[in-house]
Amino acid sequence: MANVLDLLPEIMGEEQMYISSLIKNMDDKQAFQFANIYRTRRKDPQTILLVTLVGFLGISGIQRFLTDQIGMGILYLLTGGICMIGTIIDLVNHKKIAFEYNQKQANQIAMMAKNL
Amino acid sequence: MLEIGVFCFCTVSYNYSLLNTTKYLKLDSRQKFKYNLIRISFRMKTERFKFILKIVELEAVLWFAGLIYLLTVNPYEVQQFSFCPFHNLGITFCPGCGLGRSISFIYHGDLFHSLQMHPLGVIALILISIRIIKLSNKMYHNYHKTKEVIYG
Repeated sequence: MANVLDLLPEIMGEEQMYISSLIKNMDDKQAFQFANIYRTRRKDPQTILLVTLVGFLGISGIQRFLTDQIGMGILYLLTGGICMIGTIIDLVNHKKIAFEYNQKQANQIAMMAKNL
Repeated sequence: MLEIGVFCFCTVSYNYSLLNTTKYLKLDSRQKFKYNLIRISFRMKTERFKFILKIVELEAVLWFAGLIYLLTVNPYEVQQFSFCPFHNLGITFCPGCGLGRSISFIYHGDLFHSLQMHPLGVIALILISIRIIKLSNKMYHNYHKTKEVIYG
């Protein structure tokens, strides 16, 4: 039984619950490996927030590029964050955007870690 | 909208006041039973509200609302109202302005005017609809997952 609080103390809230449900059935070595890979691939919600704030200075949509949504990123970049409205939405929603990306990565890594 | 907000606030505060008064009043068993019923129903309501908040994606709702709003707009009329902060400040240059009218022209089947208004209108409509479908798909999966977690 692996504990999230030992392996990944920096994550919290919804993400913590999700990762703990993934780790539950792994043994210690697998969980340790999972945590190591996940820490490098994870995007911090704070980074997403800061990068979204850059949108008010002129270059918007970097948060979409960072979270693998290239199409939306190009749309944001060329329309000034859809007249700033899209940027404001992302500002409110930055935790969910980060969590969406992290969830995808965590699922991939969990598949990898189980085969190791 | 404001009325609904005021109504919700009133009901919540009324229920909350009932919750607090039960501590200080001396009640017989029948009254206690009644107050407990109110308390339980209130708690269930708030829990349900939290459950809904956990599932619903704000982004999907806003995109969908935006696309529905553009259905009600007539693009052939002169524009009277704009969401754009640049436009409202009096700055004429804005890379995003005209996107809404462009999508509205597509709804009317007028592709030429749409491209003239904003060349990204078609692409924007496609990308936004793909995003809505993806998010609603995720919402559907999350609904079952969180229901399992909360209610067993």
